[in-house]
Amino acid sequence: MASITRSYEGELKQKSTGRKTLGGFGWYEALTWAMLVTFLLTFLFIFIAPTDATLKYSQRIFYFHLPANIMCFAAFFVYFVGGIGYWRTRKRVWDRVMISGLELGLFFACIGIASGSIWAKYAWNTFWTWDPRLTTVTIMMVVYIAGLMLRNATEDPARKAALSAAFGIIGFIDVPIVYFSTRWFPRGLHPVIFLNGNNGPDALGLEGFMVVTLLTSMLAMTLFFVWVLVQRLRLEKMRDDVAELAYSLQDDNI
Amino acid sequence: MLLELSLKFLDTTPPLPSQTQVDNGFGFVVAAYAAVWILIFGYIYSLNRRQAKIRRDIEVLKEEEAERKEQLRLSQTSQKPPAVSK
Repeated sequence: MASITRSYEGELKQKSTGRKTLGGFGWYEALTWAMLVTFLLTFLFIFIAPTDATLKYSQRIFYFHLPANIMCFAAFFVYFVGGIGYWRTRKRVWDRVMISGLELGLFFACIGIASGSIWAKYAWNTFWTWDPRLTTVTIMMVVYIAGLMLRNATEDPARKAALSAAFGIIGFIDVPIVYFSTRWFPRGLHPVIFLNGNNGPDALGLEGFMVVTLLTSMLAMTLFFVWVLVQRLRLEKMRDDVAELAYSLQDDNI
Repeated sequence: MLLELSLKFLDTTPPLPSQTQVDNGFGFVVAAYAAVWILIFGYIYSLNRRQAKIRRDIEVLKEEEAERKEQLRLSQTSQKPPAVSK
C-alpha cells in the first residue's frame, strides 16, 4: 500500500512542476511536441497542396478522412490483440488494452464518419447513402457499440473482460470486410483507394506535393493515436490503482 | 452477393451536385475540419475530466490513509511503557 501511495505522490509532484516523465525518460514529452509540430506542418501543407481537378477544394478533407479511418482500424486491431492476450492469460493488463482500443476505435470512426459525411454532401449531394463501404462501416460500429454497452452493463470484472475479449476477437472479422467492401462491391459510390490496379501515387489518385501532405497527415494522426492511447491506458491504470488502494484501506478497517 | 442483390432494389445514386456546390468546396472543408477538431478536443476534454476525478479520489484516499497512520501512531505511543530514569 505504501508503494502505491508513493507512486501517486510522484505523479502529483510531476503534475505541479509541469513535466511528465515515465520511468525517468522524457519520451512522452517528445511525443507530444512531435505530434503538435506535425499537426502544424499538416495544416500548412494542406493549404499549399495542389487542388484536385475533379473534387476541387473539397479534396483536402481527404487528408484527415483517410488517416482517421486507418487509425480506427489500428485501434480495433489493438482491441483484437487485447482480446487475444486476455483470452490466453486472463490478466487485467489486457483488459486495459481492450477498453482503450475499443474506445479509440469508436472515436476515430466518428471522425471518419463526420468528415466523410460532410465530404459526401459535397461530392454526392447527400450526407448518407447505403453504399457498401458506408453500410459495412455502420455494421462495424453497431457491433462495437453493442460490445461497449454490454461491457458497461456487466458488473463482475472477470465476466466483463471475458465478454469484451469475445467481442474484440469476433468483431474484428468486420474490419477487413469494411476495407475490402469497395473492391468486392465495385458499383458503390465510395472510391477504391489502394490495390486498385495502379502503382505508387496513382493508387491514391494523388500527385506531387499531395503525397507529401498525405504522409505528413498520416504521421500526425499516428502520433496522435499513440499519444491518446497512452493517455487512455494511463486512465485505466489509475482506476485500477485507486480500486486497489481503496480495497487495502477497507482491508485495514476489517 | 446478397448485399449486391439487395442494393439493386435501392436507389443509391443521388442527383448530381449543382455548379455552385461544385465551386463552393471551401465551406465544406471548413465544416469538416471544424467537426474533426470539435471531436478531438471533446475527447481530450473528456479524458482530462475523468483523470481529474480519479486524482480527486486519490487525494481523498491519501488523506484517509494519513489519518489512519496518525491514529495508529498515537495508539502505539499511548501503549508504550514509560521510560525508567537512572
